[in-house]
Amino acid sequence: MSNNNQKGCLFIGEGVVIAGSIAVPETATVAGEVEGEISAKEIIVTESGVIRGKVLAEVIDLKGEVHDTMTASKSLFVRGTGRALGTVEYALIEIEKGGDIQGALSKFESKRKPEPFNPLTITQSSNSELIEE
Amino acid sequence: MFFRKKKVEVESKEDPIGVSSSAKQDEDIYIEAQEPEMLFAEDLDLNVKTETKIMKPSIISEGFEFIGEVRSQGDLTVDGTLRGTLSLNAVLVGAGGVLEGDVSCNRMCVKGMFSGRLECIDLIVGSAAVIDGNIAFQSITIQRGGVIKGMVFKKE
Repeated sequence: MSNNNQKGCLFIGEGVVIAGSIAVPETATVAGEVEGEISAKEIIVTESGVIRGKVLAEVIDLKGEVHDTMTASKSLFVRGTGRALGTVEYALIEIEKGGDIQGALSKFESKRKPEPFNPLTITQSSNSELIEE
Repeated sequence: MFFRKKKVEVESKEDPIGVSSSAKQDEDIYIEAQEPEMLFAEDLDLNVKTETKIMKPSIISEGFEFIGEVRSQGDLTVDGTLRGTLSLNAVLVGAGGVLEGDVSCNRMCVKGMFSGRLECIDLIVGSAAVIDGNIAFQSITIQRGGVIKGMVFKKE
């Protein structure tokens, strides 16, 4: 959650519509609408928040809607009101009852940022394409 | 009213047998605990159906491998390995269980591994579960750490 230190944080209020490409070094809280690309360390989409486009973050907390592509390199929480539609990539996922997820799911695997994941949740495969990016 | 009374008797007769079954696990209890709701909800419809729903869960135990088609109105616990086509009320894949194939059921709880095609109403994915395949559900719950790969669809 966003702490008192607002440095590097973004808040998109309810009713606000933003289109374009957004890069946030810390936490992005979306209560309005985003069309385009958004990347942050942590993205919180509130109940009223809608993102259409590409979402990239370490941690995603989804109470609203995300359409198209979503990548959570650490963890993805889909809350009871959350809707994820499209391509979803995650390292660790949790969905509450009522949460909606539809589309293609795959596990995010990267050697760029090695994380002390639970070994049980890691499956072995080649990451050659990811490394070259 | 006569029917209902009769059914209650049947249920109470069945219960002691169920409890004495040594293979019973916590998960089974969980599944059974939900059953009375289903029973009463469908009590008015078909007597035949409710009678079959009183069935105890079948268990594919650890180290047991089964290949083939399973059809039942009851529940199934898979702790061993099961490959094939399944049509059931509720399926529980235990922590060491492996289930592969085509499954259609009302309730599905996966704590082990599942791969294949799944069509269900309620899906619960445990924290150490691995699911690979095409999944259609009405409601889904994934505990932290559970892995799903493949296509997922929500049914209306």
